[in-house]
Amino acid sequence: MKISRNWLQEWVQVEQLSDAEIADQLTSLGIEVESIEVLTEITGDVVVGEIVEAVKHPDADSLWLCQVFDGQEKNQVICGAPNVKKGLKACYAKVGATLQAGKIKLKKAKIRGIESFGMLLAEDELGLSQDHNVIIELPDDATVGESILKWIPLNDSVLDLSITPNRGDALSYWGVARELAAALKYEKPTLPVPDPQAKNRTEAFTLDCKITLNEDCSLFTLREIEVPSITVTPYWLRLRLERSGVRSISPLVDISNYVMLETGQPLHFYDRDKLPSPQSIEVRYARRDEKVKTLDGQERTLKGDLLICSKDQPIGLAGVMGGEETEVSEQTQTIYIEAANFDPVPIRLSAKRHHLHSEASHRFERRVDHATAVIAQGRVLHWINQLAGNQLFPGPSEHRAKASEVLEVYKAEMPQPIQIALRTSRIRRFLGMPALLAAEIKAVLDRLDFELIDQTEDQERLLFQVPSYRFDIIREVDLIEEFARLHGYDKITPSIPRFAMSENQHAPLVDLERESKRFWASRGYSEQILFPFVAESDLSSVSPDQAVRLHNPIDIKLPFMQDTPFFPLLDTVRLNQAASIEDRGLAFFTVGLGFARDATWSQGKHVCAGSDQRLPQTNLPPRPIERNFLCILRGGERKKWQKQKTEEEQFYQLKADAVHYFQSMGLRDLRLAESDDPRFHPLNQVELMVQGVRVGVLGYLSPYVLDKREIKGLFFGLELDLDQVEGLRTTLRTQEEEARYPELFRDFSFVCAETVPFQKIEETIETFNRKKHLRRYRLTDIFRGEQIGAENKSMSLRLFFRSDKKTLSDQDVSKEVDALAAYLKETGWIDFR
Amino acid sequence: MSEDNGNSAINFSEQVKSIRDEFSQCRTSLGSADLKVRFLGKKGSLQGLYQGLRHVEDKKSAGQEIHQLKEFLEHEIQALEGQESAEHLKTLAAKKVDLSLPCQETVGSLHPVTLMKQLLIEKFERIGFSVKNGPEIDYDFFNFGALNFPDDHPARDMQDTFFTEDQMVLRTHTSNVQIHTMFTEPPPIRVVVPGRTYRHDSDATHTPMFHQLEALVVDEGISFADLKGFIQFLCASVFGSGCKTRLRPSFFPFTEPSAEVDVLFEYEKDGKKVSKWLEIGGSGMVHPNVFEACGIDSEKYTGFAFGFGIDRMAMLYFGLTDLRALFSGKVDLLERFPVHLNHVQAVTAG
Repeated sequence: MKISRNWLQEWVQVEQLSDAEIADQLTSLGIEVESIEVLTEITGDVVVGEIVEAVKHPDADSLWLCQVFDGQEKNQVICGAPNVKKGLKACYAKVGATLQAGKIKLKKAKIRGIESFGMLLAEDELGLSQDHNVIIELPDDATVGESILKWIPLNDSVLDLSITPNRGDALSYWGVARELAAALKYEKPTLPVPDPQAKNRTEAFTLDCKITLNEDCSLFTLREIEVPSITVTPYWLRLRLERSGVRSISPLVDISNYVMLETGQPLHFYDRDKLPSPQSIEVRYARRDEKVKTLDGQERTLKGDLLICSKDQPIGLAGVMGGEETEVSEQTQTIYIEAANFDPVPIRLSAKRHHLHSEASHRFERRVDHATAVIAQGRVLHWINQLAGNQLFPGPSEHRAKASEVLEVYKAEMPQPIQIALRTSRIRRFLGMPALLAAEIKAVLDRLDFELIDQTEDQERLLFQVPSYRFDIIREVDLIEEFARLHGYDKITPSIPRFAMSENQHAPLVDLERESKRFWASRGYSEQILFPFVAESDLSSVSPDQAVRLHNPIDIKLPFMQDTPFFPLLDTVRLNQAASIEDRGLAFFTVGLGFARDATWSQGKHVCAGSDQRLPQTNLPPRPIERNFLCILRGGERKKWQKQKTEEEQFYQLKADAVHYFQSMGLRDLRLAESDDPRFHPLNQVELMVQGVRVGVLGYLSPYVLDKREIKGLFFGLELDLDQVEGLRTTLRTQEEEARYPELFRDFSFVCAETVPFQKIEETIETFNRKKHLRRYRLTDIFRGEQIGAENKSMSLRLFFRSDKKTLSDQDVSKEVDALAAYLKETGWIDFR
Repeated sequence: MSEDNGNSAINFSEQVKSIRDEFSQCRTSLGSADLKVRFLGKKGSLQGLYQGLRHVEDKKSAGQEIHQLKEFLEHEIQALEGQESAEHLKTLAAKKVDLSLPCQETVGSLHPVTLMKQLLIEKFERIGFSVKNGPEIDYDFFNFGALNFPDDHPARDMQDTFFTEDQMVLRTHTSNVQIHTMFTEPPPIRVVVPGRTYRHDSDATHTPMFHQLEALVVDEGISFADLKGFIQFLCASVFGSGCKTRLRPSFFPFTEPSAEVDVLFEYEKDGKKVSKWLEIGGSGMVHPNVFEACGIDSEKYTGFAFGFGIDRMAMLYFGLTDLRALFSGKVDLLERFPVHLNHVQAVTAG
């Protein structure tokens, strides 16, 4: 909400405070000041100038040669306005003055050969309107030489306030002033409500209109006024509205907005003569397919909206916007003024349903004080009378419009004033202010209008009555907050909480995630954090109907929640390739969730398992499954600074990192299994199995996938299911071995088909149960050549033997090597050459 | 060795001479190390002479002879050593490697948000907090209802919410884990919850996904003054002991009193010291309605909770100015960050 400082000053005496000081006060009250805009529309001498002489310009019939008295001297000014005349008091901008925040600078000018010192101003030059036809005529009682700001308050400061949704009471100048006055210990601001009924007693009449309310309208007030002719909105009022963020539309609408900004009470004016039946108004809910055309010209099909009706015809969306058919216009002679009070929920639903967030709905959603409706009615009549003088400038008006008495209809059960007991001991403990006195509590709450109704003798229990406008004060803790807020958070001495010692118990995955991230970053991979929103084509393993789809995605092209962060991560490869003029190696990892409704997915562990039983609603949809993934990609690398690494080198770098990762995280018994993940290369991919459980997939990325994403070069990937990894972590247990006898080695070569993976050899050797002294082995070479056939490869192993009991002889070793050779050969897929 | 004492002197001289000859013969073929062993070692020629000395009459002159020989050998070998090491250096020089050449192309790094998150978590761990996590897609009840957000209340507009097609919500804050924790663990509670959160908002200062760190303390006798002291302690341990914090009244449905947390950042601008309060999160005393929704006695227990914007704090900490760049995936930004953050003095933003 924007507020004008000029206007605010009418409510609370803050003239001596700077903008920043006002902002600090509001901030410390919980009203955040988002910005302060200082409007210096005019600078220098822009004063009331009297035209003491006006003659035609000798060389131009349309121009006047004026002598303007500025209180000290006469100045020669040339002006082309038709309303120039001797004795007129005009806005005179002297040489050196600036207008429209510096856009116009006044200099000495020569017009048709005659010098002009400054300018007599029209509305457009002050930025008040587009009007350039005539110069502004100031009232006769304006003092010559005085700044025009008194008459046209152009200079101001605008404070943009962020009012939290619990503080509907602060959505008005009155409300903000109340808060400031409480903080500054000033007198409480009150509205100078004229007593319209007393002053208009002779003209007041009783309104003949039957008002019917439903349960969601607790108060409806109505007054009829015969509208005097109001042709203009005064400058000062227009400026105040605009600075409060409300456009000036017409004098009547402006009055309605002005009073709403003053009091916080939304109002609506009806053209009485356009009502289907001026003798009856009803508040009711819309029936199916009823329609109303709102003031903004939109025809709205209604659906459970709260309506204002006349003779059963909808004439407005209650609390949101009035109807076009009964809109006031220049021809309007008699108006009905509505100041009502509606339940927040239906207003909120209507505003949401019709995407019609109005100043009125904003306030009703946050609740409006019942006490302001009648006050606002009085203010409306006051301003109608003021404006009926049709003065552009502030000044008294003697006008008295013919107005009815205010018709007030209340719902049967009106909210009663709330009384809350505050315990002195509780507030002391709660705020950590052991020495707080009851007297201090009472003094502070009194400034906020909380009336002390009763207290116990020991002052332990203080009973307060909540002012009618504080809808947010319901229980004791609310009073505690009110005290703390006004007393000042900064005046509470901080303390350090005292805890019993206890060991921390982290949730699953907390440590694993931290260790994993450090591991991969240390290995040369950069962590990415990415948005989890994806397109259908970026779902990896679940079908669209099993994926989690958003009702209101931020980007219509990305309506799904990722089922793994794999594709978002891959997209960063494309992005970085596109952003770089030279291809470079990239190595990324990310830890993120995958979401799905696929029942075959295993659910990660969450604290919510126990709390879901406490859900108050039943028949809720099942929770989507959330699984933690670690995705890693690398590729495009060059070796050191010059040569391209071979494909294999790049892949094995990733594999080496993966193997080391498993070991570091305490995962034993890693096996590779066949895999057919379409994101990976059809042949060069493997599933990673740990103790028989699938934990992820590793391999070359699918050339098709890379092509489709316009990624250059080869990339390699690893995707791990961290929930599975977490479950497979073990602590290392091993025994030290003392090598008392020397180790011997034998090299051993055989030929096998290209298609035989090394893991097959490993598995076979492992099942060779006659091995006695074979401790370990190492792959030393892979040879390919014509002599062994194009389909084959030759592998060389170096086998290491050692006994715990003796030094092995060549013979011992030969025996065992032969036995192994025979065993391998038996399998049928290796041969010796 | 001869027992003939008369010849011993001559023999001795001859022996000395033969050693000298032998040395000049093999000095070119053997290296200094081998020569040392052969002539000066424990079983070397010189040692043999010393042993023969007891058979010599004129021990004095023989002794002098040995001494001269020893000096000669030592001098020669030393010279040779010098020569050798010069040669060795020459060979080494031929193999000199330019250690300044660049090495690996990719530099590993942790994301600044992760660094900030871990820095914060470590502070909490040290004083006994447990780190918890929770679902990112949750029921309205856990994200709003139990946190004292009434249905159809404008307080819900404070957090633009993503809904799934079946009306679950992407959690708008990590505070849903407050509820999950209080439903499953009895007080005293001391937990910290870092995590991703989502709001339907995307502009220069908001991203649809961002990170929060939630802390919840529930115990007997926890006060608002404790909250103030705790936040001051935490910020000082992250941003340095001179860090100033401020609590400013605000409104969150699930805390009361509620407060925004501001940190005073001091930095230089045009050579002048400037300071500015910057908001890093929201805080407050757990609202009794929340305790009651979770079945905790709000008379017996009090507590505080706060939620910090990790992304915002990371930006302040590292001097970053563009929030969206954090999640843009640009490798040249990411690689500027380290793998571990330890006692790095904060760089403050302008």
